[in-house]
Amino acid sequence: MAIDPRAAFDEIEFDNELMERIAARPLDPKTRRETLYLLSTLPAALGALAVWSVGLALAFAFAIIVVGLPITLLILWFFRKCASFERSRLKIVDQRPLPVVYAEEDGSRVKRTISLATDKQTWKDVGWLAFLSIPGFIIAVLALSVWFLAFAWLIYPLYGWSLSGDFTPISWLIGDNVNFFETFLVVPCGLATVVVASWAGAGASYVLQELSRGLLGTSEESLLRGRVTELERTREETLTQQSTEMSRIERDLHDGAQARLVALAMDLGRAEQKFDDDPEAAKLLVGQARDEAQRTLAELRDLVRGIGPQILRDRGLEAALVPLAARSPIPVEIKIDLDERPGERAESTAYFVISEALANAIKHSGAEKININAWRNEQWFYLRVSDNGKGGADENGEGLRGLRARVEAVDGKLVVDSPAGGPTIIDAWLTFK
Amino acid sequence: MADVQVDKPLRVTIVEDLALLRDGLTRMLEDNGCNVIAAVDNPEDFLKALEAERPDVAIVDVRLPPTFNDEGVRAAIEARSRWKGLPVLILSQYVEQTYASELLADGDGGVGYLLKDRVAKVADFVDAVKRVASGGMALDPEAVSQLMAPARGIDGPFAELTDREREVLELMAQGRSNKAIAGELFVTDGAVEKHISKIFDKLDLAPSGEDHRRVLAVVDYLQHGS
Repeated sequence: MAIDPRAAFDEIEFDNELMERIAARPLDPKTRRETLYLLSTLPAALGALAVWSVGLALAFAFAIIVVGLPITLLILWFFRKCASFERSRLKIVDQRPLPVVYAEEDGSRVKRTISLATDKQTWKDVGWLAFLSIPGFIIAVLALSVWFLAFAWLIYPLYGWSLSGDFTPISWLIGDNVNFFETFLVVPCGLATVVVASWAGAGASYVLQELSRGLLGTSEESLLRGRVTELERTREETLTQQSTEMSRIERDLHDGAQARLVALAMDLGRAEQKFDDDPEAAKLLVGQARDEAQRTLAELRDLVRGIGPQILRDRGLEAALVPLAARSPIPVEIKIDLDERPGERAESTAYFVISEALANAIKHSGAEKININAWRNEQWFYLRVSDNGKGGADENGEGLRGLRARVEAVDGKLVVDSPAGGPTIIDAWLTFK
Repeated sequence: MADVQVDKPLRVTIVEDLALLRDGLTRMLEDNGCNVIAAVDNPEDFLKALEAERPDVAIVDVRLPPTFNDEGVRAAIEARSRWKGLPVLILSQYVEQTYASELLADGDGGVGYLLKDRVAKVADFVDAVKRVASGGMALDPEAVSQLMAPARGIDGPFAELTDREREVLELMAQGRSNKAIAGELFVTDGAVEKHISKIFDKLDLAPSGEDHRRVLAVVDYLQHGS
């Protein structure tokens, strides 16, 4: 059977490459991080062991008396803190984001406290700390002892000659007693062991890192489930928001523009009646009708503002905000820093948020200056409306709640910072496109 | 149709929540020789005002506090059950067939249902107020056409009405007099009278005073249609 010599050659080549890759592992920057991670695992594991034993002891000691529950909750809370430390320690080797979701972060204090114990993630955290404290420690120690051996042999010539009966990898060749020159024969063995240590470290670190990720992070499935719940909630809010918005517009039209037009028609009708007999009164009524027409226009304009002006669609956010700022009795500075126009939904939401926040600031803040900022940071579209007024904006007031619902409807977030005495800063961010 | 008494000023009670329209209506009616004895902005005060003095006609806005849905219609129905035959003219921005049917259901007449737009034609509006006050009807043409639409092509006595008779019935529902109907349809008064008596016959309405029968004819029609 003929063997293609080239194929054989290729195979050797491949092996060489593989050998090179194996041998070069100690030089890989990953090695440094893994070693650091394993090293940090030692004190972390000891800490976890301490936390565990103290925690267990306390929980058992107090279990019989009433304070057992609060103590247990306190311990769980402390475990969570440790888990969060572990998450940041994991960053040494694993920079991937580690999403973590604890259930029911908001709600009443009692609910929040109870959720400590009922949340699955808390127990996963506890599980990781348990693993870390003993098996984790052993894994790290094993991997690190290979490094220790490697270094010990690398610097063997510095001390090997003074030892007698010391075990070396070449004892079988030259016996247990070596002279100074023979100690140098151990150095290449040290070098080889460095390669082994780097791989052992990689393996150990991989095991710890994956397990840590699995336990400290929330699984994709639960994340998706949480996301769906969140989406359901915001969608519900949007629909409610939309229907309240619709009935608000209907009310505004009914009580505003429509009623004014009826009054106007009535005035004109009366004027018509008086036209011949009492021209003075007729004139008065016509004047009244004209005022009514103007007020109707103003009201319709305000109403349209709530829906979003044409200029926003035609020219974008800045062009739409300038007239609002111009009408404001308080000086407004607009700084919009965008390299392109945001998505339509983001843009109209941004306009709505800014114009409402601006209207609020004008009405309630008593400020001397209002600043509007909008900028982009990668996929995020940031908005900020701030004023130097008296603060104390009610975050749960109807106005801000409406704003929040509007922002959350497009998967954004709204944060209000308005201490009594001011200043007020309203921040919102949404997806840019 | 009974003559409206023009010598005595018509006493009117108004319930309308928007001051703008309440004041406008009051002034307009007073310009035209009516006496507005009460002008209130909610159903409770309205019923109290009726208790204090019964007017010749009440003008009621459909949307009133507290919920701004159909409180006006309910207050009117309540008032008519307490003071039988109290003439009521409902004003609304929209025509709702149900409301008109509900009001007419008692068959007592003296019911009007007009779009607010109609106040612009002051003379016509005042006429409508007076007509309702004297036990007649004043249904908005818009309301009538909405109400009549489903009645077309149905079975029963209405199917027997000719197109012309239906037209006459529609105009009757708007509260037009025979003379006005004749003018609208370009026929003689006599022809209109003939159509009307045919309608009464076909709907099987026993003779019991012309006004009452007019109302019943329309009510029949509305209830059938709605």
